[in-house]
Amino acid sequence: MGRQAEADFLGWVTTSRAGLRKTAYLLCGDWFLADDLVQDALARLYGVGGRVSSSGDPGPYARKILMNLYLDHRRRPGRREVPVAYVPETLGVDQHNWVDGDRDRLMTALARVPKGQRAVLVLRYWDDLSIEQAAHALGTSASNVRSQASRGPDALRAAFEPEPDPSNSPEEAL
Amino acid sequence: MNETDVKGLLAAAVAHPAADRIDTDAVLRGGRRRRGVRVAATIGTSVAVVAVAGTLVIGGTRHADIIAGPTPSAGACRDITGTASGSLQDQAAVAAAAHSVMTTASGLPTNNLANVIAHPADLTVEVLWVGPVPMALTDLATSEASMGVTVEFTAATYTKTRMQAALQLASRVDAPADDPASQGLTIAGDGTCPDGSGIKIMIAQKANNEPATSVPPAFAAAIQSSVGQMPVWVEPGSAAITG
Repeated sequence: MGRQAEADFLGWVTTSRAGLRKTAYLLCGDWFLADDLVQDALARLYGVGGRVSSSGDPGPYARKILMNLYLDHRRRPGRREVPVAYVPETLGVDQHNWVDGDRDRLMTALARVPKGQRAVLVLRYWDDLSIEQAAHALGTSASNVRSQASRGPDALRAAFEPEPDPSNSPEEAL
Repeated sequence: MNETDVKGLLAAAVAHPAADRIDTDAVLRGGRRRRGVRVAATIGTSVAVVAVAGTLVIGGTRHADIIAGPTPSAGACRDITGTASGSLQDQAAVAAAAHSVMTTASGLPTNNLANVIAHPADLTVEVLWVGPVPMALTDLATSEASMGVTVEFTAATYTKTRMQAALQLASRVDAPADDPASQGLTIAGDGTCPDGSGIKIMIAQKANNEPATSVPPAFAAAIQSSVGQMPVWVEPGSAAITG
């Protein structure tokens, strides 16, 4: 990559990294891991510099690399989510007023959404990608993305709903 | 839960991002390493193909990087300085508005902010922005207007982050070893242009940090070539610049 291309690449990185970090964070729920994913994605993007300069906007390709890294990261043994004995307490959507501390609840809810559906939610509703653009980033079909996008909000709402409390269940008649 | 609800939830989740710890130098090193592996693999494949074909073709012409940075016109790096006058109340109001602008801009998917300049005497905040101003900022300007602070938007050429990236590249340039006029000189200070039009570099004597008597064209050209097309104003000086 020549100096001009490298300067252009660095310029693009500095203006786009904040957005990529947020996308990565919404996917993985961990700022440290998000930084690792973005840094690796940027290194890979730089490694294919020719493709960057020919396409003009490296954004779509960067996002595609990021998605692959995220999905690949989750597939690796030892990096999967660890099951815990107790699920953090959650509130129903109707009870929600967005103040400090609610972010944890949202990230917990997002973590309950299947990873593919979570990726579609983030790409469609955070990155504002079209169905086709999201499909390209995920390497899947537009119909699959359309289906996931339509079910995503319901999945998120369901993830927000509190766990059924056994103590509140009606007592069985003796 | 509809689309707007989901967007609101996601925006709330990333409203206060943790400190950015991405290492740009590591990105470039990693990218070069990956590129080297790819080139090696390509060469290996090419050699195999050539062996089968019985023809040897070695490489092609390696084009030199074409660097044609524009010559900055005199005075184009416009100094815009905020005013310190105005009552304490006005200063606080303008400072709060400027802070809101920066916070809102940093929360956008793409932050095209070039600079924010406060003018308490006029109860005005000047926002230098690259490209179309996002609705989040125009909404903020409307909100601030209702509280008496005017937020004005001025077009800029380069974002702050883009200029800072260029500074990183330019600050690594050494005086050309083959240019006698550049010997004993070094970069002593740098900064972004307040109007978002490029960067400034100050050249000084390496021995005593006194401003250089003149700027050798070869040194200036080397600095300009390090950042590509962005205008660079190279001047004698020894002080760090803030912009």
